[in-house]
Amino acid sequence: MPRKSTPPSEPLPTERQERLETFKKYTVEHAMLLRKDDELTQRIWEPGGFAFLLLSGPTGVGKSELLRVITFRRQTRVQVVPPGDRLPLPVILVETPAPFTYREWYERVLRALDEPFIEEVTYREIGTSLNGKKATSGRGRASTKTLDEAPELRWPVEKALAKRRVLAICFDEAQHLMAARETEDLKRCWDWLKSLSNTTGVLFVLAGPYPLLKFRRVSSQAARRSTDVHFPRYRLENPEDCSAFQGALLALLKQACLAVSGREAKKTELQLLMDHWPLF
Amino acid sequence: MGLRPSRRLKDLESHPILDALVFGLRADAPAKRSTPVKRPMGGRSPVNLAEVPVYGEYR
Repeated sequence: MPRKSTPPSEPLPTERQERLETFKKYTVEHAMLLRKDDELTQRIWEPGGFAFLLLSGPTGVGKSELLRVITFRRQTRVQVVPPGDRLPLPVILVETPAPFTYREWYERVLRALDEPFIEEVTYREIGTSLNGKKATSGRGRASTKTLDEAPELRWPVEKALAKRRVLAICFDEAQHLMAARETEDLKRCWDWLKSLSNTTGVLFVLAGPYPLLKFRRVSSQAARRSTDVHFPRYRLENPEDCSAFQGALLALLKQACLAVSGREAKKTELQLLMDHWPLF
Repeated sequence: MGLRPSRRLKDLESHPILDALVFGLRADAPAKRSTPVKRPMGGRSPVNLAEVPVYGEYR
C-alpha cells in the first residue's frame, strides 16, 4: 500500500526526520575523495619542506568534508601520552573567519586546541570583547589600542601548538584571507603566515575555491614554499570518472531509498534512476 | 477546468524520480518506459549495475 506523504506544511514524523538526518550526514567514499584523502594525508605526514599546501577545487566538491574527516581521524588515533602531557592533536581544523581578523583566527585556533586559558587571555585584553570588537573599558572609555594583529594572542597560540604537537592546521574557506584585499594587505597576510610557519614548524593547509591560488602570486617565496592538491569534479569525457561517478550515485541512491522508505532499494528502482545518471 | 484554487500548477507536475523513491515503481511504469526517450548526453546505453563500483561510507 502506498505510503501517505506528509503535507509540506507539516514537519516530518520523528522517525522519518531521523532517517533524513542520517542521509544528510552520509558521505560516499568515492574514488576521487579517496585519492585526495591519500594525497593530503601523505603531505601532512611528510610536507617535503613545504610550509603551505593549497587545497583547491570547485565549490561543493567535498573539500570541507575531506578536511573534517582527516582531522577527526588523526585526532582519534590511539596515542601514548606521557603522564602530565595533554593529548597530542596532530591536525586541527579552523574555519577562516569572514571578514578575516587575526584576533578571531587566533581565538579559533585556541578553541580548536581546547586551551583552557582562551577566555582569560581574551578578557585580559584591554577594551576587547569576546567577539574581537572594541569595547568600552571599565571606566566607560573606548580603548585606542590597535587591535589588528592581536600580538598578545600569538604567543599563547605558538605555545599551544607546540604543547599539542600540531603537525598541520587546516584553514577551511581560506579564500577569506584574501577577500577584497589590496595587494599590500595580501603581502602582509602572507608575511604573517610565513612568520607563524617559521616559528611553529606547522604545515598550513589552505582550502578553498580557485581564487585561493592567487595566493601563490603574492611573492616568489610564496610560490616556492607552497605545494597544492587539486580536488576537481569528475569529468564526463573521462570513462574512469564516469564509472566512479556512477558508483557514488548508486551508493547515494541506496541511502536515499533507506531515508525515504526505510527499506533497501530494489534493483528495478535503482536501474530506472541509474540509466539517467548524467542528469544527476 | 476545475483546478482547486489551493493547488498550484507546480503541484500538478509529475515528479517521476521522487515518486519512484516514495511509492516504488507503479504498475503503469513499464508502459511509460516503452516510449522511446531520447537519452541525455547523446544516447548512452543503460548502466550495467553489476559493473558499477561499490563504495561504502567515507569516514
